[in-house]
Amino acid sequence: MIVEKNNDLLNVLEMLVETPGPSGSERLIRTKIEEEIRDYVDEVYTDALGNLIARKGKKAEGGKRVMVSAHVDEIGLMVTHVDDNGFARFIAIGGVSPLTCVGGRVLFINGTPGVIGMERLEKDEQPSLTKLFIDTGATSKADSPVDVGDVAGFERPFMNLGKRLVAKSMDDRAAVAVAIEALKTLKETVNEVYFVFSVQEEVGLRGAITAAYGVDPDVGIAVDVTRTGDTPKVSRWTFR
Amino acid sequence: MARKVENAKKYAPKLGKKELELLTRLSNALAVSGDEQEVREIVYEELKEFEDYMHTDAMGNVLVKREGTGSERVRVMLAAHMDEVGMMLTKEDGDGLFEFVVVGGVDPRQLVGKPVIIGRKHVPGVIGAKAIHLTTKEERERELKVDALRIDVGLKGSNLVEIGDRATFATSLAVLGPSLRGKALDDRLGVFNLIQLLKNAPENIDLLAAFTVQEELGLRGAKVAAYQLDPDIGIAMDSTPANDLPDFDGEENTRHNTKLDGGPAIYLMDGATIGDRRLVKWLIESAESAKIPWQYRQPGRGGTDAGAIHTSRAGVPSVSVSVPQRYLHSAAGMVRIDDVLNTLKLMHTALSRLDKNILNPQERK
Repeated sequence: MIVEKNNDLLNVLEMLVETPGPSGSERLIRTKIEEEIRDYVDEVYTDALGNLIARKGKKAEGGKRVMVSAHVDEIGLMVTHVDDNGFARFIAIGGVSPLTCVGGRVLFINGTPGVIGMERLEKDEQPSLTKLFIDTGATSKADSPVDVGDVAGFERPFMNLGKRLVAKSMDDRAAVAVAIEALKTLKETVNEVYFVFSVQEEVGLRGAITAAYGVDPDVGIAVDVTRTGDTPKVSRWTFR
Repeated sequence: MARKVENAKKYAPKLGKKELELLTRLSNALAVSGDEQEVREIVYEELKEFEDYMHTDAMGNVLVKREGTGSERVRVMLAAHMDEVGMMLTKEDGDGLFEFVVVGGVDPRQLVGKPVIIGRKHVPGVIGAKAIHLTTKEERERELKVDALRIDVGLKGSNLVEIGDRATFATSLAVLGPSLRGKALDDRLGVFNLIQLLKNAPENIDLLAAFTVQEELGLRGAKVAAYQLDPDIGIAMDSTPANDLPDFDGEENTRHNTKLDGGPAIYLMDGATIGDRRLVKWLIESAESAKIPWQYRQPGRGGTDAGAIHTSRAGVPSVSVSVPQRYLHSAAGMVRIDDVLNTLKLMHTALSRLDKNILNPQERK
């Protein structure tokens, strides 16, 4: 079991999931990853959209240029309006389910914490994001610590449950941790391997589009997470 | 090759007789996505002096380059789309009646009863519906779908139009005090402003202008234009809905998108782009330094040419600036003249103070 075997991987994963980085606000997570990998690569740079791109090895006879891509961004929220009483309305960055929002805690990139509340719903009405608001403790528009455009991630601390790990943004930080581990342990080969820590995947694979153009690889490998079908009464299509 | 800027002077945008005439021609022109020729011709005519520095690419985008004179110039792509939403004739039913499809995002409820113009010759027609005398209560409550509607050009008209012709609403631009009412202001206002910026280009930048096609069908023109121009940064100049009427129940309107009289709308995020925060900050600082009113376009859905530009090649930091408009994508939108001019003023002010520091990696979010 990898959790017991590899404390370094576990520590990296914990660091990754505890760092906020909704799509378009990947600065913090990018910086952390860069610090983690700098000593193991031949070259590392950030492209125009914010992808962190690290190269290991040089393409030799018979080798390929390989692009391994794991996205560093996670889903989050952006403020669309702060009302007269200080409640912040928001939209989703990426695919956010209203069901997982209600009562949830958020942490803004600017450090402000908040909690998500909901308007009164009609009988049998399902919650939608337009019915939700973030309460930052503000009492008016004037004393709100957040404004239109401020970005928040969800606040869901890392938990080690022994055989299972729990955290927000395992999508795709689990794969980022795998990519970092592969990068660290990769031996010199004939291949030139580009590890791309891509941005804005959750809003439409945007970082990978520009990174792929810049790297121009022979082979591409996306490392991501996917759903499982092994929980109670789950739809069966994901797991056979 | 690009024409160099000479003697750039202080610039104060206005909507005088000449400008209003241009805007009227632009708004009244028929240029539904895929057939932008009419607007393309106006752009060429207006920018005759830059003829040697402009060309039309394979898709129909008009690209114009104006080189500045300083060192360390930022290559700025400004995009405004020439196309508008509308209709296309698909089948003749006889008797002067034509089936049609909608091109781009048009609410079918907006269609019934509207006079239209068709094709390059602006043949007049109408999207007819049964007279109220003959309808039942049930019929009046039912929404008429596009495939149940016909464009009627009259018997003589049917010789003047053909399948594939584009059609749009027969609306003429009107000045209503401080406002303009017209069709296709999305994005002829952007086209108008981009023409003015080219004529009054600041000398500290390389201005790469793209009058794009097929934006309304998925930012298709901007995609190839951005590839060709290969800019350092990209800005889409567009128009966005103002849903600024009060809520019916007297509650605070939290979803206005933008408001008329609020000034240029600066984008943080829409369905196609997350605006580069360095560019957002630069625009806001420019507006505040010149005391130009501005507003955020509320983060939300939709998209502008920036969506295609920012993912071009190895990436282009991009943002959008829009003129707020009521009743977008309908027979007649409504904008404030001041919002149009303040958008132009903001763009000119911001571009005039732009240098390579804009792309400082330390400032990246």
